[in-house]
Amino acid sequence: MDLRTEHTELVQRAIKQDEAAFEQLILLHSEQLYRTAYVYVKNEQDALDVVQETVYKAFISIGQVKEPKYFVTWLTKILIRNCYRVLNQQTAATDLIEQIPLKESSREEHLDLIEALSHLRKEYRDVLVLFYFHDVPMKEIASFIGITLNTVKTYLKRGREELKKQLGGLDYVEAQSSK
Amino acid sequence: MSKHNLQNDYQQIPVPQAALQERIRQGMEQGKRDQQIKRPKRLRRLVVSTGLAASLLITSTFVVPSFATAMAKVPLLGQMYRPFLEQENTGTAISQKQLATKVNQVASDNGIDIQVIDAYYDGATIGMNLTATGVPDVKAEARSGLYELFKGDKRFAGTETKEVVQFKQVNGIWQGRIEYTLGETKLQDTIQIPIVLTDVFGVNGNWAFNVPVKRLPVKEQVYGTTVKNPTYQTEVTLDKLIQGKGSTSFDYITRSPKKERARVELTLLDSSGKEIIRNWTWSTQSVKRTKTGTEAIEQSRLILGNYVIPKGSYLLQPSLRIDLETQPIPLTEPLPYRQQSETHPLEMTITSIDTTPEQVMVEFSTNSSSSQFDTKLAIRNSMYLLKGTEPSDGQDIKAKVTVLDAEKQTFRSTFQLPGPSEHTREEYYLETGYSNTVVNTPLELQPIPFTVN
Repeated sequence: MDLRTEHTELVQRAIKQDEAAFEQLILLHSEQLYRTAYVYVKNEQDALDVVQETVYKAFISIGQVKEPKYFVTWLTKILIRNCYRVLNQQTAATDLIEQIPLKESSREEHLDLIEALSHLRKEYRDVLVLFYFHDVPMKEIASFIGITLNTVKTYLKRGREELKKQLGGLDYVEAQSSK
Repeated sequence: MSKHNLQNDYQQIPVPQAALQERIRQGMEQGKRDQQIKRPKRLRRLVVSTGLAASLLITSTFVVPSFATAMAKVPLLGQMYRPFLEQENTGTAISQKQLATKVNQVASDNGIDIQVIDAYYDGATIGMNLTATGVPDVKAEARSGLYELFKGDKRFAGTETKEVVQFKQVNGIWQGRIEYTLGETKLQDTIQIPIVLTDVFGVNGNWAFNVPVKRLPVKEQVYGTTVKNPTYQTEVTLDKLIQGKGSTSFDYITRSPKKERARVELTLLDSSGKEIIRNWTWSTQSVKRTKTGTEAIEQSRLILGNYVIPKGSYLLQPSLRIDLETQPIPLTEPLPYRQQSETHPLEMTITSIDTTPEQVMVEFSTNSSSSQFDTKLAIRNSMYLLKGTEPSDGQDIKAKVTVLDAEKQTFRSTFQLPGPSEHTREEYYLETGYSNTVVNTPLELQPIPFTVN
């Protein structure tokens, strides 16, 4: 049995409330879930909170998945919604307490990208994350978010342009290759 | 923008494995507890909702027929999602009919061989079937590639020429299908299409091809039939039909006032009005959008993949979706607060907002006297309370909506706050759900009759 078929079978079993299959699926995608959460919320504790909440929500609503091959897209959408929830809480919290510098030491390499993404308009960021990090085709993004294919294309284009500006006005490709 | 570079940065984000696995376990435990408590309640509510909705629709008296008909179709949020199906690929029909042109070009990089097996150009769609060998053992999410057509020349494919192709393993061979709908510029019938794949199975590389394709015979019928809808100041013209070997495309032009963003979607009906194919957003390509002083003119193309329309008489049923831009309103807003569209007949008025430290109660009315339950359902799904204004889908509190007077169309939404608050009115904003209800309530326009010879 190839990996894709195996994945589809796991989703089908999970839809039928097979807890072991659900857990296996989540573990398969756990690193990707965590990294995407981190891209949005920018710290380890909040990213872990987001993953936990996503697992919880996915567990209670896995029965809603109609097409097993869209499981990853469905899961990512839940994750992104949870990221925004946490981001909003972060905004509220900064009004009350003085912001303490984060102590992660391993952020330097990916800081630029994460910072740049966090300054994008929500619509651009979501489409970029789905397209570049989760390999969701544009047609599927359009269908999933409920926007037209052309809007997805426009968001990708504008998102990339914004990202370039955020990264110092240089073409990101050139900037990376000259390191 | 290089996908590889972006993903490199992404992969460098360190993962705290032990903590992550513990949180996954906790999430599942929380889910198990919650499911045991909530499942019966959810089932009961669904049954009641469906029954009530049906009875109210049957007994409703429609005042404005087209509006009432549209209101009856208010979709639940979940129904907006529709997966893209392989059966709707033009390539599915082309493969079955064995009409694709054999190509057999191979490009190799970083140990991965990509072969373009065959290609097709049908109607307004270009497609290619690929295989990949030498593929590393990668996770499910990396079984894909990024490709660019026409060296990024946007004239041929709208605003964007890059797309993801997904691979699947069939009888031990990795297979992928590229399918792209063309933009405004018409191609010659015989053409070489430059295509470059860059990130494949998580490997950065360059797999370049120049693929010769010949357009399959098509039948084009030009109509130029315009149907006016003075109520909504919108005209729809069926320009032409392109009948390919594995697809059918409709080119149409919409003229609407430019003050509100509107889009027209088409549903194909037989001559008796029975639905054949309903349009969905992904299958419509906006070809060109222009604006004059007062109106927006949009050329669009609806492509029905794996469907060749037979001879006969048909109707195209356009429906108009109005996409309004509204902002969450502060609870301190002077009342009554009215929301309305210049095109869509639905109106909503917030008549009172009462706050306590524990909850917020909002009373509102609508003018949708013919379909009160649908309005309630739509509002219930899209009205929420926000702490602050941004982001719009952040820390939201859902409304519990009750009908105060069905005849007068008055409702009350109650929001339970997460904790006591002394400054509720200043802290919270209301997303009324008006624009969401409007966009989810398309207006039916006059059908366009046409014949396929």
